[in-house]
Amino acid sequence: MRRRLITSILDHISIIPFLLFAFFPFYWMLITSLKKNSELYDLKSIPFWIKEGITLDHYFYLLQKTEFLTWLSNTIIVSILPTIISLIISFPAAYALARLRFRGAILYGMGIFAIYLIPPTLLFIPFSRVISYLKLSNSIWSLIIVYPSFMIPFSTLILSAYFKTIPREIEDSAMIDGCNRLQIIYKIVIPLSIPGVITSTLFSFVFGWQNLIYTIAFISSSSQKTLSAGMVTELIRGDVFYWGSLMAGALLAALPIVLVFAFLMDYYISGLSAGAIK
Amino acid sequence: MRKEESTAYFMITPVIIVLIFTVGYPFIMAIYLSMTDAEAGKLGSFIGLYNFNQLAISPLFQTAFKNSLLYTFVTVAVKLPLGLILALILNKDLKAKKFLRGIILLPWITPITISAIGWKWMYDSMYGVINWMLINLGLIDHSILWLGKPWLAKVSVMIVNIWRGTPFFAIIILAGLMTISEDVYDAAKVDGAGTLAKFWYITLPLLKPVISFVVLFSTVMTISDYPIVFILTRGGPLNSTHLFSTLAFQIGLSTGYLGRGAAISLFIFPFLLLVVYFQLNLMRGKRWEY
Amino acid sequence: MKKEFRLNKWKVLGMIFCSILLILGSLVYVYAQDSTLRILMFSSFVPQNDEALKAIGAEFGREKGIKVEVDFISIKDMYPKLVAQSDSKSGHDIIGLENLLPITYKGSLLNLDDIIEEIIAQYGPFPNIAKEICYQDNHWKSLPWWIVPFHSTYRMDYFKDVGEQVPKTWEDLLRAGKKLKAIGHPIGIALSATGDSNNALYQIMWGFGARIADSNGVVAINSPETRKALTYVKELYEKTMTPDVLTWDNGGNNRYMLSGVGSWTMNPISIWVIAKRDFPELAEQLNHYGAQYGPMGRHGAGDFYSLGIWDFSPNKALAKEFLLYLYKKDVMNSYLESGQGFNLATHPYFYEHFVFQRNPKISELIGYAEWMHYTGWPAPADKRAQEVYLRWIVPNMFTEVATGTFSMDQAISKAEKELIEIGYKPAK
Repeated sequence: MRRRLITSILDHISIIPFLLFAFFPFYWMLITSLKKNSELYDLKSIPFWIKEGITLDHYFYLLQKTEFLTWLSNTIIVSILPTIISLIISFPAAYALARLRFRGAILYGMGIFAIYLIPPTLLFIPFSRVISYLKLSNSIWSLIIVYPSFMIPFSTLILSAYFKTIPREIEDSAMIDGCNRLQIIYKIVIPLSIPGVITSTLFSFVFGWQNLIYTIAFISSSSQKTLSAGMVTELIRGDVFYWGSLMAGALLAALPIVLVFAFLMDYYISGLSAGAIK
Repeated sequence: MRKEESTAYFMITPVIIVLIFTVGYPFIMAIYLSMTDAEAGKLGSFIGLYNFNQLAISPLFQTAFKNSLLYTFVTVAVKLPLGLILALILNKDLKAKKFLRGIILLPWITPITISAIGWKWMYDSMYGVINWMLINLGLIDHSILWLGKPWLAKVSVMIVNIWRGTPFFAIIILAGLMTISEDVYDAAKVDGAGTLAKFWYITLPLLKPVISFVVLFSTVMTISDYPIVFILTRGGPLNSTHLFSTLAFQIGLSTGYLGRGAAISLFIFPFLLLVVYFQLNLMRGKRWEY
Repeated sequence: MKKEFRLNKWKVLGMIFCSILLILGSLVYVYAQDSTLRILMFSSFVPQNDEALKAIGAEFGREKGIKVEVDFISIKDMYPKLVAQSDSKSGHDIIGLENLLPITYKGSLLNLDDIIEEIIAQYGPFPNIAKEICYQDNHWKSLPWWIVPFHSTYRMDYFKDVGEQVPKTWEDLLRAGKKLKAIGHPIGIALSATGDSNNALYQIMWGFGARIADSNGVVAINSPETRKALTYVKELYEKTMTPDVLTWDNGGNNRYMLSGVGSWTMNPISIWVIAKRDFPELAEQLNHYGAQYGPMGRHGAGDFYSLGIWDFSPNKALAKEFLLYLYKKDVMNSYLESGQGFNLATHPYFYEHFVFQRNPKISELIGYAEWMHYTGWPAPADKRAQEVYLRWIVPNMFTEVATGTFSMDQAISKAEKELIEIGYKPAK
């Protein structure tokens, strides 16, 4: 009993440095977003505390004077649709790569991954040609079409890695029991790989959420921009940075996803442990 | 074997089709571009490997090359153990698990451009919170020029990369850990295995595909990492933080030498292809070799 | 337990159908744009500039009965955007061009000789710098619009405290700077990989007669004049500056002055404008001065902005009319007024805009375009000069010498090698 208590305490303590390292910039960003401009430039001010009173001006500026909400909804659409498309397409491919024996498997894997070897800061040039040829310039559809190009390889390969983590014996014994491949996938692989599926979905979503270069290349009107592009254009003007609003925007852009993920992850884990194998 | 093969082809075909159609042309165009003398606003002609030759003898490119390798190697080498440890901790039964896992992800989820801007100000030599903390803790007596001295700048950008990338490693490995079912550990316990043995002989081998994937992916992504350095230092001071990506931006996109810029971006393409090949073998495991 | 990702074929078909509908919808949206004049400009430091441009566009549109769309983008992002547009031969009609960009894209820009001739007939000739940048291959490729001068910004009270007037020559600056550092208010000029650094150091070079190459494209950096400039900056850094300058980006000196510590820097009026908003007492003490005098004359630098028309634009005639419209007296005056003195005219006719007459703090800047050169002068205005600017060759050289990283000979020789690599001819 005592041993369990000590281990538990140690576990909790050991996460503190990570928490601090990860979180202190955000605490600082939060404080910055609430400080008055005069205090922001005041050398005597304390970074972690607000002396001259909290102001919500930066948030108001962000939400009222810029098209923040439009950018937010654009970014959500542009991240969700391709993620779903990628997941549908990459799931079977990932399974094949992980479990099935077929000629040229390594070649397929390399081919899928090859797209990452060309940085987007180069790839956007030929992509721009394609997009303008398809007359999709300045439309968020240009992004929806292009995003799967970097989401699918990631989904495919990471899902196949997660599938490999499930011991083969489980599927083999099910096959002996008379299940066919499809049933195995439905009843065993999907349930067991839910954490992997959620993770890969989330990460694909975040890749879409963050992407900047394609937005810059294909999109011009403020009403079609995504969060990063919009904030950079409106809140950084020459040598003047609207620090307060930038930090406010950073927080507003990150928190929703974090909440969704934290919630999702645990909800599905509870269903994992029992049942599937037995 | 026949049936398994055809099932496999059937499952993998959609991916191949989608990728060929969305990426095929741009991919080939990009490679072709690197072998031309194209400039912005001017069509180029084919010049073979001339760009690559010129780069190889350019001191500026050599600097960017060394910087990129150092940057990638160090950051990945740090992110992996940190991410692994973090994942192990997060896998335990902690209070406020949901909250913790979410918070840990924040660095990675925040749009990179904005968090890099935030870090820029944190590193500021006059206003920066880092100097403020160090001075007030009595550890230093005058402000450190985090982004002003070559070696300091290298460390500074690496720290931001590690801050941002460790959660990536951690969460991906965590999902892998969660996929390993309890039964496997129970069986080992019955056989009398201790914690360390469990970790070494069960957890790590089962995690091998996930770990190799995340290392591979992170390596490739870090080598072409661009916003962090661009926003923090633009490649300075004195080109000490210039990477392939920032150099390609400078020469290719800003100056307009598109062919040269493409060549910079693709210089290590063949080498990366090899790395991918080996990692994929590692991931699939030797049993699947034909 | 929920199976979250269970999709059956109906859902898939439904999604495909919706996607097709949406694609068709956006195609209609896109095709409906053809009768619009589209302008791409970078978001100005002064948000009112952007508003003014939109208003001008709307007014023009009303007069002509068409739609005018003005889009904004940050300056850094303009570079890849222009690459994408020129490569795919589609995009906006009119584009904003910074510094030497008209040269990079001269092959894709429409010739503007006719409208420029009209402007010259009406108002008189443009200054040298306009011709150097916008006139390429015997044609006017872009319309000079405005400049952002890179002049000095200083604290009147600190200078008074040390018994100095505003420094008009580089020597004055060194002398005053030493005294200012002694009372805890050093000066600052960026010595880092940033545009401010280029702009300041080129001015110092020119003041001492140094240059990267001559007008024939022969490397000329290895000269006694360069050494004089390097010696000067080294002394300036050691005796008068704060070491933070090594970390500065374009906003670094702004923050430095706004903190109250800084006494002198080089920057357009953005510092003063922010001070007026947040630190009025500081703003009272700030003032500006035009280009400094060096032993070899008065030379200034800054950012030069012009407008071009893509030669693949579907609205060439309309675009030309818009550019002419911008130079109508009341239109130009209202635009310059919206900048509150941040942007200066490139044409002598508009130098003495009432914005400057009204405010003594910016009156020293009138006519700055006459002292201004593009960074790279007197080397020809071409891609090589652009590359020198973007590769920070001049800032690197000065930083190396000032911090003692390399000796003067080493730094000059390194810079020389890079200049030759960029394409300048070696000196005999």
